[in-house]
Amino acid sequence: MGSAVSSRAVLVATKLHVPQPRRGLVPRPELVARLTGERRKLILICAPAGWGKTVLLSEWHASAEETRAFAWVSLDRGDSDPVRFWGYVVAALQGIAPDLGESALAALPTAGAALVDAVVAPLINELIASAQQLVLVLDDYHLVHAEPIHDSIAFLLRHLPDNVQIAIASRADPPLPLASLRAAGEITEVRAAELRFSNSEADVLLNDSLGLDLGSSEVELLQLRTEGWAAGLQLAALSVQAHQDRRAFVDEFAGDDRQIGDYLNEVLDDQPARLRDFLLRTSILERMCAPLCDALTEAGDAATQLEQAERANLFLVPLDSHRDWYRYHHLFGDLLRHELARSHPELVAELHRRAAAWHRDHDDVDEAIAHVTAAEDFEEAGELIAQHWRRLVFHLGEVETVIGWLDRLPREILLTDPRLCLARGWIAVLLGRHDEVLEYLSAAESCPPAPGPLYAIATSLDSAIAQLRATHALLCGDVARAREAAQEAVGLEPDGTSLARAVASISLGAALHFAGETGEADAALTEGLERLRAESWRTAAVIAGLGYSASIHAETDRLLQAEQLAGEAERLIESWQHGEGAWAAPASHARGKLLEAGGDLAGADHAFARAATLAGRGGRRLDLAQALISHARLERRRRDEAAARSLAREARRVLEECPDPGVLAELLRKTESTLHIQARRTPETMLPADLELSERELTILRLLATALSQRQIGSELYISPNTVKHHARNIFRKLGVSNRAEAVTRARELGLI
Amino acid sequence: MNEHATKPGRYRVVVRGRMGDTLAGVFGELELECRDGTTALTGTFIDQAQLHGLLDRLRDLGIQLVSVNPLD
Repeated sequence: MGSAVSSRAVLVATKLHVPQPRRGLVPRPELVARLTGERRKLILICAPAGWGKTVLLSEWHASAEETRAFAWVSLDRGDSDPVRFWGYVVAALQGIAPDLGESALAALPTAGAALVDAVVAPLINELIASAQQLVLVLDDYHLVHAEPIHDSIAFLLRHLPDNVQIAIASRADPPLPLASLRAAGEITEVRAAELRFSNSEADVLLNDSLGLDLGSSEVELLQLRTEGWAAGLQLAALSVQAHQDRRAFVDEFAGDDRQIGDYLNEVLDDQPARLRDFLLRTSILERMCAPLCDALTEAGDAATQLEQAERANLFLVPLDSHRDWYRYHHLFGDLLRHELARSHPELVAELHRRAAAWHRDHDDVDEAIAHVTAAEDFEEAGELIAQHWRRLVFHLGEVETVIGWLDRLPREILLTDPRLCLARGWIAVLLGRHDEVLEYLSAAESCPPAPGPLYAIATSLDSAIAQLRATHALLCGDVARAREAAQEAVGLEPDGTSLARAVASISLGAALHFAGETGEADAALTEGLERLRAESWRTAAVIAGLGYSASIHAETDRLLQAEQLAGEAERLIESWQHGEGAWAAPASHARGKLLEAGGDLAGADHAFARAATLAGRGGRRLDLAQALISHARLERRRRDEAAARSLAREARRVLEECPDPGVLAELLRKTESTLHIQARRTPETMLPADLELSERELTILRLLATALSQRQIGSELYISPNTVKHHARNIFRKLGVSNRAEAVTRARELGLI
Repeated sequence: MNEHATKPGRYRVVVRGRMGDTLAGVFGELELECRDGTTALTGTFIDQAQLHGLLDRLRDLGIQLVSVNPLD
């Protein structure tokens, strides 16, 4: 479909479009001067709907005094997904400097919990390097409801380069460290009190812009009545226009204590019937263009109605410079929607259905799902989700978006559609939440048959379930069950050339590898990889499979092949930008083995540490334990017994969580015995009672094991650096050590951290 | 966690101004009472999140909050 590609592109363009100040705007030179002049880290424009936040930002952007470039993101309800959010931010920055943020953008789909490290930190470095003076505008920030996004913006603010300023407009105070920014004088705040229209500003709006020709006493009455609330004034103005005797109406309005929103009806009543109807019906749309509106109203005159609405100052905001896309001013849209639900409740679901159909035909899955869900067509929503979740989760990394779709479905719909249970289960795999995977696996198993196609490479539901079960067992460290489930998955895909069979073979190979069946593992991995390579299939399964295969070859001294396989995995990771994915852990482990074999012990050290980090992040216990054991053996070879012991103990802790760690159990035992580690000692027997650490000290000890400075630890715990120092001295004394590094090593030996 | 955060409860939310027919319809699920230039909206909320949802809706409609009180 020709429009398919452009639909998403149009959406991005409208979200990044810098709104141009409208004709007849009331100039606010003092406020603009503050925004231009005070070069603080953050500009926060915080006021309820309709106080002119966006208008002020666009006036500032257009002002002659402001010479910096603006990266502008208009947020909406779908942007609480960190991947999407940062995708838009980078796209906005690239509007200024096309090279900016390429690597951040590439790392985004697989960054997951490493959002700050993988995306924000590199982006900050690039911003510094670019030396480009710019303002990042985040409009409607109150629509963001995601802790990871707030955390990442807080991080950006803490490390904000001097050449960058952030401007946030929001209806409520955002959950950012505002208090410390205020205390440091790093924030310019504009709130409702400053946005309030004065009498003279109200006069400009009512008489110059809207041409009402009111006397100064009437302007004053309206200003007083609306308390200078811009949208209130504008709504009042529209009501005034609707009355023959304007003076009488102003008096009545001023003396009335009705909510200003209640005047919407009078405004609507004053419009031609067709326009009124058009406004109400299209109010369910987040953003609209004429063809979309026509699909809803079936009247065919949307272009004319939009034009008329804009001319009548009916709160229509253009979203692009061609005036193809619009949205209603938020307040006006809210009022219209409420009025629609009140006066035509029977229409609402049908309108949402029509909107969903239009968006589906134009490949905007997101809006389609939002509208079918709003229409309470939950089965249809389920079908759309079943069809599209894989692309979002596995290719775009927009995991939170899919979670949001599923969360808005009634629980019983989710739990009776096995395809949706599997979607939720795979998401839990990616998040490393073992219990949740199990929960949705059992739900999938007890579901009635899927109400529609699987939309998967698996040829049957049983096969898809077996594949997830194998993946879960590998994740939580149950080698026997992984082997069994993978065997089942292979058996359920008898067609030796099918992709599902190849993916199952790779799981089987991984299970056999951890079971110590090297020869069989090699064969299964090779079979799966050959097939997937032939199809140019580049998924997590291939990357993990190459990594295991490389490790097997390295451990059996077939270094040449091992090098080829590891190189292939690394090129895939590189080209596909999956460096931060947990499935890259086996390849990193293999690289460690190869470097160790080649005598580059420092390089191997780094590779094993990286493998452990990646595996730990994704909750992949077997990969984590394997990396730790290999690392421990390497450290022993480097004659750093303390480090080796500490790593072996960490591996021990991981293995203890595994229901069946397979061959790793024996491997670790051998490693422990060469390191003279006895059977595990409990911390109680190691520490005299009077030297036990307090809760606080344990917390600090855990933070001492990180890269945080003492000052950073202090701010993390809301205590002064001196208090941290004091606690640290007590910790050192109790552990019988003299510095931080020793304390961490000792604490690891004691199993305290 | 405060267990009240997850328990249903009755609340009265008082806002400035009178609610006319248009807005009264919007909050149809609540009891509305206008007095002395204020409107009290009273009802049972399944949890605090639902109460916050109402406060957000009031804010988004440009309605000014006077007070929020639990009733039981």
